[in-house]
Amino acid sequence: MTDLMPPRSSGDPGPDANDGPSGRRRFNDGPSGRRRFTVALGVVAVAAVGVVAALAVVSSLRPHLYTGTVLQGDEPAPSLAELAYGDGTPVDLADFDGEVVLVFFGYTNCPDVCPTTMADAAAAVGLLDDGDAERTNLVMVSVDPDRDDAAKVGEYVGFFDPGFRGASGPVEAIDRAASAYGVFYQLNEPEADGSYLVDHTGTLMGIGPDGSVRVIWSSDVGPEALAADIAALLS
Amino acid sequence: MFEPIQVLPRIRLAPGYGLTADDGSFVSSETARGAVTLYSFAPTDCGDECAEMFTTLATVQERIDEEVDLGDTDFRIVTIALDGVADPGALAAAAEQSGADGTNWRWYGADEDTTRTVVAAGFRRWYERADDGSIDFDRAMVLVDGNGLIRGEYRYQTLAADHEKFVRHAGILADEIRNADGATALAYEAAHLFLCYP
Repeated sequence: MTDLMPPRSSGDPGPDANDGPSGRRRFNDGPSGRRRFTVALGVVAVAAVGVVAALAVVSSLRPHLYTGTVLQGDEPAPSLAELAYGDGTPVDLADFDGEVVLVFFGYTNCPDVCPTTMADAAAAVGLLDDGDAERTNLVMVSVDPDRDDAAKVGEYVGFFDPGFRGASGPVEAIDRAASAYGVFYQLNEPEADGSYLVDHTGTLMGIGPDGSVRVIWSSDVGPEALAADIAALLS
Repeated sequence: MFEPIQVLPRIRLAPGYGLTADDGSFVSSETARGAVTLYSFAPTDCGDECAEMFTTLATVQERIDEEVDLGDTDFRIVTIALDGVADPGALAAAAEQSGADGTNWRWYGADEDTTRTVVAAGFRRWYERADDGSIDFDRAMVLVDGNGLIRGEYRYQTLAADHEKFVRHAGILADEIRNADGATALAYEAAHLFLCYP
């Protein structure tokens, strides 16, 4: 048989491991090709790192979008000084300077909104990092002072989170505090067994580190959204 | 053409309350939840002294009905009696004299202590009973949104005609309410963040 292939010259390296299937030379063939490939790879890597860094910066600069409703006013939150904790100490919001205080008006015989709100608040605190959790407080004010003294409210909220605190006081003081926080409450007529329900606003109020009411949440806010908003308040 | 978004500031919490309405029903701040409410304050026996203010309120009600698209959100006017009157008959008489329609413009009242807690401490409106038994008071109005937040506080008699200002502000609030969901909500929150106030 006649060999139709031209004879190789001595300078032709011929097909080798760097040739493609058809014998074409690949991009990284030889020292200069390998360098170009390395440079291109470096450029791509640097660009990728840059994009990731830019996204991280943009993400960190984007303001947190609160689930709760944000208030712009910076006046101090309404005082709760006419009310006291179970040990008789008046509630002094200045004790929480630089921290977040969640304020809720409820009662210990409350069948629905109070336990779910307290459970959600406790779960939210559990989702925070240790530092933020340490700086998050909750005060529940009773709207049923005939059945709830401050110690009982404290015991009730402590069941959800040992750091939560309960407060109560004279009816007139509770009326004033509730009104100042936009809360309405009303005792219903007693049942035959003497038990009764209390209708009340279920809003959760968030006092920010500056001591002003910063955010209000509806009772169905949920732990994750609440935790995110608290973390943003503390940041 | 691009127009920057304007919002009314969320000033502070409006007070919680439980009062008697001019039809004898019990009304509370929870009754008002979800509606935009313009509160005003006057004694039930306020005659000519309040005529101009009542005319303004009637005009506001009429113009907002006709000119402002609040969607499904109600707009209400409430006048709270300053003289500690909780008798529905007296409140209804005051409502009739003022021109309140008994539907979207109602009169509310309560005993003197409750009135003081709600009006003086809550809405922060000054009033006091004079030696002759009449009531001196701050002619003011307060705009509250459906979340129970104060969005506007007005001394009566502003530089602009009062009803113009109220209608304009109600329109701004209506825009925010209509855009409260989805991507546009972000723009409105940003407007609050960057204090884009009229």
